[in-house]
Amino acid sequence: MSSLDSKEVYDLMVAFSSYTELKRKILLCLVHVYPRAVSGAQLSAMIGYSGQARTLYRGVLERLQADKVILLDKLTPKLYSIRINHNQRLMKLLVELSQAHGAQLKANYTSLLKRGEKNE
Amino acid sequence: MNKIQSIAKRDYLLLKGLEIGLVALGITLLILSINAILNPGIPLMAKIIPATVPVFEIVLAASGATCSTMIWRWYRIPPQIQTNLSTYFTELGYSTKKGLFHTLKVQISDDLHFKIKLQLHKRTSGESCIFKLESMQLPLVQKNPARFKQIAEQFFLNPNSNQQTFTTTCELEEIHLRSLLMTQALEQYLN
Repeated sequence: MSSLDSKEVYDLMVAFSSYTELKRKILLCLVHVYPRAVSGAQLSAMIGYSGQARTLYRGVLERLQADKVILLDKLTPKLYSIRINHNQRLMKLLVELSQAHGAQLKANYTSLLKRGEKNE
Repeated sequence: MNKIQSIAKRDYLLLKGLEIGLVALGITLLILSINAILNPGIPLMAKIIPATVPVFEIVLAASGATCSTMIWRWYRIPPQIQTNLSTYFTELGYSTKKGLFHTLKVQISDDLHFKIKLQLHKRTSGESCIFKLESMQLPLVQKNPARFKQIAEQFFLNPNSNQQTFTTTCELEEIHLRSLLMTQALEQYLN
């Protein structure tokens, strides 16, 4: 990991904290599973929401995409491929931080992802 | 948030009702006009025309009232939301000015402002009250697009090069911090 720029870390912290809890959960999850893309149902399961609650489909993902922090590809009318936008400077930093220090959380997210895949 | 959702839902239903009423009145007016022009002599209409009831006046007054109400509904921001926003921005030392179509102009200083547009009736349930923040038009964006993009990235804003503005969309609980970040982004860009 490149040496940390404290200004960038501060910017990340401020910008990150301006989001709602749901958006923060989504970003944290996507950052830890990077470079993998996940579907809406997988993402819901990983952040502890019911896949049937449709919480993610009420414009939250579109708003994160508009802020250019995630990449949202519509594969079919009902299937989205969601991943973190690693080209965004602060998201790149968050990815680097999670890869350096977030092995445990990454393992947790991955196990949740695998459990969801088994259930499907 | 539930209170705001119910306000948004009520606004949405009222607007839809008014729109349906307006369309219905338009159709009635059209039928009456066609009938008056062609005078087809439909027994039902023949009975209505010589009557002393001022149909046209009533219809015009009703459509006028409907249009005025619709324009007023488009103009006004629900008082709870407006009070909430105005109080917050006044505490920060900013002034607010109401614009058309659910828009609030937030004046940070004489030469610095951004707009907040409420999308009230996007949905009737769930996150129905969404705020769109749009900065003032920034000068010289084309001369240094990299800096423009970098500042947008720093504050999680969307850089719109064509319009020369930063934009973002957020919910009520986010609006305070997102507004502050918008202000910081503007100040940083202009300094």
